[in-house]
Amino acid sequence: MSAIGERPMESEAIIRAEGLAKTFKVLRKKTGPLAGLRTLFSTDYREVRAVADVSFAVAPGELVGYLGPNGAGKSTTIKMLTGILVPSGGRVVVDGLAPHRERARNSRNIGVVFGQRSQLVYDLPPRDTFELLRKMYTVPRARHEANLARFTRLLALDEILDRPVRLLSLGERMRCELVASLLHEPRIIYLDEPTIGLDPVAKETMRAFIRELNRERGTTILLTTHDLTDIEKLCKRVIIIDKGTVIYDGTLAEIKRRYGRRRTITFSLLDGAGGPDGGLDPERLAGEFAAIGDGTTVERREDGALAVGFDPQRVAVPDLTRHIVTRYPVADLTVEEADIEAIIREIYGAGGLEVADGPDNP
Amino acid sequence: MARTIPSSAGRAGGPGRLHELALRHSGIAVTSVKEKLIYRFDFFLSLVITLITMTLLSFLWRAIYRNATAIDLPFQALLTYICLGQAFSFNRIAWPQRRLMFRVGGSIRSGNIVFDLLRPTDYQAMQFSEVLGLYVTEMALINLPAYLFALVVFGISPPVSPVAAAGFALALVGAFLLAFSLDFLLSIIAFWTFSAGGIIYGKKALLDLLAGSIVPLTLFPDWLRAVALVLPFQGLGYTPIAIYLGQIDGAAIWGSLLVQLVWAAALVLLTRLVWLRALRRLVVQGG
Amino acid sequence: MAALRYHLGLYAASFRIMLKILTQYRVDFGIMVVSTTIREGATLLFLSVIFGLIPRLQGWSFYEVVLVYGLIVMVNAFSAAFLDLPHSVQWYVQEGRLDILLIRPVRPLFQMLCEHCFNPTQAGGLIVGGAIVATALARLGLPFQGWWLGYIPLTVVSGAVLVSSITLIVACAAFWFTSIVALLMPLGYFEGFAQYPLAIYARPIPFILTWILPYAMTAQYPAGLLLGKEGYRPYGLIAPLMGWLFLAFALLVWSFAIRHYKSTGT
Repeated sequence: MSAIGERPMESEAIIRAEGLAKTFKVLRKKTGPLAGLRTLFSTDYREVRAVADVSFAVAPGELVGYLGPNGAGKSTTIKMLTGILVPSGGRVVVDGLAPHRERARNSRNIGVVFGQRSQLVYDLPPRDTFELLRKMYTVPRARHEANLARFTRLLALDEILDRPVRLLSLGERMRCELVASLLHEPRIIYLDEPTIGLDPVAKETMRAFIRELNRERGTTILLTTHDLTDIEKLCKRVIIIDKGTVIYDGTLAEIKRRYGRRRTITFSLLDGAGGPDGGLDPERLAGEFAAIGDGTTVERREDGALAVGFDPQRVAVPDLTRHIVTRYPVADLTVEEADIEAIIREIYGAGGLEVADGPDNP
Repeated sequence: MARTIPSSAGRAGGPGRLHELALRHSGIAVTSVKEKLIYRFDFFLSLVITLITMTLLSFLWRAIYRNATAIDLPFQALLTYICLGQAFSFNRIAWPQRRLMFRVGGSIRSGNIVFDLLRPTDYQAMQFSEVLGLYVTEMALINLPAYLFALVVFGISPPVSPVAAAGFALALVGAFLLAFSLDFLLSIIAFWTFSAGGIIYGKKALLDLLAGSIVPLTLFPDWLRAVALVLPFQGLGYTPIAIYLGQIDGAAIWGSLLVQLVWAAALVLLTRLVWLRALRRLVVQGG
Repeated sequence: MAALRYHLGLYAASFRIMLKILTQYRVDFGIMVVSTTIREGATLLFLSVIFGLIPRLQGWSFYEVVLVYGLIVMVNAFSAAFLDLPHSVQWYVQEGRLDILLIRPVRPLFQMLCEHCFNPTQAGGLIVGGAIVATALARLGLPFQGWWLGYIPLTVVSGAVLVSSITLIVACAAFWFTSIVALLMPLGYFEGFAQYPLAIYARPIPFILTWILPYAMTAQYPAGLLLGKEGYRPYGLIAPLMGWLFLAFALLVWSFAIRHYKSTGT
C-alpha cells in the first residue's frame, strides 16, 4: 500500500527520509548459572531492525501524523530525524542538514517534545529552565520576553511559570515542555506522544495550541501519538508505519474513503431470550449473513453485544437490519460508521494499541 | 537538567560517589527486574573488591614487616589475620548493608514505609530475616571463595584446632548480630539526612580500624587498644579471627563469645528503642 | 573566543541554577562534616598505628605518606565536587536522559559537566585535605618554596581531571552494558594502591599505577617532587600533564561511544 495523495516535490521538502534504516545489535541473554557474567563476555549478537526502510518527505508548513503500532519504529525514526541516533542505512535531510552529522546546527532548527522525557529542571520553576535555554540558543532578551509573553497568554501559564516543576500537574508540565521546545523559534517541531497521560481538557488545550502554531507561524510539525483523536483533530496527512516500513502515506480523507466505507451494526438481545450465549454463535451468524451479501464479519464484543461489520455497497443496511430484528429478540441495535480508530486498527492488522513501545527500546 | 538532590558520599573517593548516585536515583533506577540483575552482579563485584583490598593489604603488611625491627607476631599469623579480616568482613559495603539503607531509609523517605507497617509481621524482624538470608548468600558467594583464594594464593594457615574452628564459626554468628544492629541503627539515622552515603563510608573507615580487621588489636598502641576493647566493634573482626588463630583459646573463647553476645543483645535492644522512637516521630509527621 | 565566552556563560548560568536548587534542600552539613572527619581521621589513625610499628615505610616517613594522602583527599574532593559526571553516564544512557542533551546545540558532555557543576557536600574535602597537606609540610620542616603555590593547585586540578577522565573512559561501557558498577567500583578501590609508596608492590603494579591507570600521578609523584625523593622528579614534572592527556583520550572514547547510543529507556 502506498500513497496517492499529493507529495511534496523534492526541492520543497523540509524533512526528507530516503530508505532510512536502523538496526540495533542486541546481546542474546544467557540463561543458567552465572548467566549475567557470561552475558557480559558474550559476543552472541542478535540484530533487531527497528526501522527497515522508511522514505517520506514533508513540505514546510505541513502537520503530519506519524502512526504505527507498538514497536513499529516510530520513536526510532524521530530519533534519527532529530540526530539522536545515527542511521544504519539510508539518508535523512532536515532543512538541508544531515541531523546526526550536524547535530548542533540542526538542533537550532528543531524543537522536540518527548512525552516521556523532561527538559525542565525538576526542582526549579520553569522560568529558570527557559532562561537557561535562552542562553543556550542565544536568543536576544527582548525577543525571548516577547515569545514567553505570547506563550504565557496562549497556554495560560501565568500561575505556573514561577512554581517549581515538581509541584506542577502533568498537564501543566507538558505545556511548559512545549514552551521549552519552542523558545528558540524552530521551523520544525517533533512531538512524540505529547498528550500521553493528559486529561481531556489538557489534551484539548494542547491540540488548540499545536493547531495555532502550525497555522499562524507555518511551523512544520511531525506528530506521533497513540491518541487518534489528536490525529483526527490536527492532521490532514498521516504516515503509517509497521514493522519498520511505511505502509501508508496520504491524507486522512483518503484513508476514510478507502477503508471507511465499512459500517458496523451492533446489537444485543433481550435478557433471557437466547441469553448472551444462547445459540447465538458468531460463526453461525456469519453464515446467515453471508446469504444476504459478501464480506460480513461478526464478532462478540466484551459486553456480550454482537458487532456485524459489512460493506454497505454489498449488503444493504435495511436488509441486514430486517434480518436481525425479525429473527432475534433484539433489545438494542445501532448502526455505526467506522471511526478512524477502527480503521487504523484494521490497517495495522490485529491487536490493540498499547501505551508502551516495545522493540523501539531494545 | 536532571533532578539533582545534593547528598554526600563522605569520602571524596570513587566508590562513594557511586553509592551516592545509587541512593539518589534509587527511586527511578531500581525497578524489581533491574534490582535482581544488580543483586546478582553485586556479589561478584564485592568478591572482586574483597580480593583487591586483600592484595593491597598483603603488600602493605609485607612492606611493614620488611621495614620493622621487631613485631610481636609472626608474619604468617599476621597474613592469615589480615586475609581473614577481609574474607569474613562484616563491614563491607555490599548488598546486605546497602539493601538495608535502600529499604529502610528509602521507604521512610518516600512514605512507602506505611505499607510495610501494615503487614502483620514486625518490620524490624522482617528486615532481619531478609538480611540474614543475604548474609548467608554473601557467606557462600563472597566469604568462602575469598577464603579459599587466600588459602591457595597467599598460603594462609587453617584454624589452629577443631575447637578454634568451631569457636570461629560461633563468633561469626555473634558478629552478624552486631553487624545487623549497627547497620539498622545507621539506616534509621540515614533517613533524617541526605548524607546517607557519607555515614556509610565514615562508619566503614572507623569500624575497619576499631574492629581490628586491618590492624590486629595486639599491634595497636596501648591507649587505642584500651579504647577498642571497651567498644563493641572488636566483635566484628578481632574476636572471630583471634579465636581462629588461637590467640584466644581455651576458656577465654567462652569469655570473648559472651562479651560479643552481651554487646549484640545490648545493641539489638538499643536499635529496638531507636526504631520505636523513629516510628513515633514518623506517625506524628505523617510519613 | 566567542565560543569560549558562550560556554563560560552557560557554565555560570548552570552554577546559578545549581545554587538555587541547593537552597531548596536541607543539606545536613553537620552530619557531613562529622562523617568526613571520621573517615579521614580513621585513615590517619591507621597510618599512625602502622608508623608506630616502623620508622619508615620503604624510605617514606609518616608525614611523607600523610602528605600523599592529603593530596589524594584534595584531588578526589575536587573531582567529586566539580567533575562528577562520569558516575552518571550510566544513568544518562539508560534512562534515555541523553536524548534531551542531544537535541540541544551544545556538546552533551559539556551539558553533563554543567549539570554536575557543583556538589557542596564534597567540597569540604578540599579544606580537610588542604589542612592535612599543610600540616604534613610543616611537620616535615621543609623550607617553603614559592613554586609550591602554583604547583600544588595545578596538581590538584589536573589530578582531579585525571581521576574523572579514567572513570569516564571506563563509564563509556554503559553504552553497551547494562550494569557498569562492576567496572567502576573496583577502579575506586584500585586507586587506594596509589596511597602507599610504589616500591612496596610487586612487578606490574607500579607500572600500571604509573602508565595504565596512572593514579600515582595524582598525588604520589607530585609529593615525591615536593619532597625531593630520588627518581620522582621527572614523573612529578609530567604528572600534571597526564590529566589533560587522559582527558583528550577520554573525549575520543566518548565521541566513539556516543555514536553507538541506542536511546533506550522509557
